[in-house]
Amino acid sequence: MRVFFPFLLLFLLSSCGKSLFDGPNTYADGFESYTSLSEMISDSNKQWSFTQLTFPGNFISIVTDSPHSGSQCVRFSASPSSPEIVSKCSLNKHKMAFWEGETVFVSAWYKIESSEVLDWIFLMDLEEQTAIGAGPGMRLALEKGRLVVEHKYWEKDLYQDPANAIPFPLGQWVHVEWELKLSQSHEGEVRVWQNGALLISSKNHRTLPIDFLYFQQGTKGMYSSIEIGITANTRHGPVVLYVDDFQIGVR
Amino acid sequence: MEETISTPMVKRSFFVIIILLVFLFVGTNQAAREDVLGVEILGSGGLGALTYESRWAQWGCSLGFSLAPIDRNNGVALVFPMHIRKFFLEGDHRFVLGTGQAITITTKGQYFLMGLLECGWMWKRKDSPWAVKLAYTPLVSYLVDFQWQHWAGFSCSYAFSGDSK
Repeated sequence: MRVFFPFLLLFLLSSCGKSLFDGPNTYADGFESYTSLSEMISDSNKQWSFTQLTFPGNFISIVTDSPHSGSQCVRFSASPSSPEIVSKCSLNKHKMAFWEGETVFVSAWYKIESSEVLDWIFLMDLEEQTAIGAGPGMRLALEKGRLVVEHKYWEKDLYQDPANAIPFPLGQWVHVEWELKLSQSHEGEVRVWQNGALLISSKNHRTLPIDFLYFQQGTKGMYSSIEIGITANTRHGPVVLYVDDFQIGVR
Repeated sequence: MEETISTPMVKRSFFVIIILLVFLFVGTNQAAREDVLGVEILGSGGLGALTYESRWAQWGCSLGFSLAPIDRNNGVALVFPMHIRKFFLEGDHRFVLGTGQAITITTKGQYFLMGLLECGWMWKRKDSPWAVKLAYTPLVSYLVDFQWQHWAGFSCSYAFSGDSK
């Protein structure tokens, strides 16, 4: 029995190596080269990996009317969510790798057309695919018409300073930039800009999920996928969103 | 679904689990064996667990069952913590050291393995079937990343007669 225990402990404590989960950490898309949605999705993961369209009326299309730059942009159209189903209309790219210690930078141009109050519309998700759990990560969302950073794990959300909060303009192109220094301990940093104005800045923040008992298992200290578009829509009404000139990378 | 666990690590972990199961059901024939049913609050079961333990001499092997609801899309996690543990000291107060594995399988077909450790104190009067235990029970992730979650638990158990004395 005494002979077994050291070996058991060795087996128990050894890690399989994170190199198995490596992938690219940059991607950019101006949406100029596509003629249809199907051309945007690639099995080889050279472009986007898949779409999420959870209502029959939700759709994604390449359009040529008033792009931010070039001749085309992407249009996302989503019905309102119901109590049972979250309305999603998004593009996803997975098998990427953004590791703890790196500073991830995301930039995209967004234009929203909606006559409703923009309340809990999710625009961009960084996620990790864990063995057990609900795809934890961080998300940019609009809450009462203002950009906020929301967490899909147990961490406090980040809001703009109420005294200086800037609402998200409707019906015009808005430059959204998001910078994250990744950390599983409280050594991360978060910054969000809107049209060049720094809206949210936070230090000593946990920017990566960790395992939590048996509810969330297999976190690896990384993010592996990015999702853009209407990643979750509010229940208040339909939303039309245009996205152009997307890029993600590490500084 | 993106693969999150390598096959060699899964094979290695199941080898460990098989060893633990062998000790659970074979035990030793050197001394009286007790069958023990217990209820754990917090501890290696997460929020709690029902446990069966086979105890003989200064050793014990246990299998537990616990639940961890996740969400509508990812279902409920069924958790099976398994331990092998050794009891130190004679008398009513005993020191306990243990190690083990927790298998998690969700109702959506996802699975994972976690390492378990235990260091605690058990009180059991010599002629009583009842015992209580208080232990530090960290959960140790090791398959894809090493993470140590501090945790603890309290358990109460009842020993039935074993099939040999």
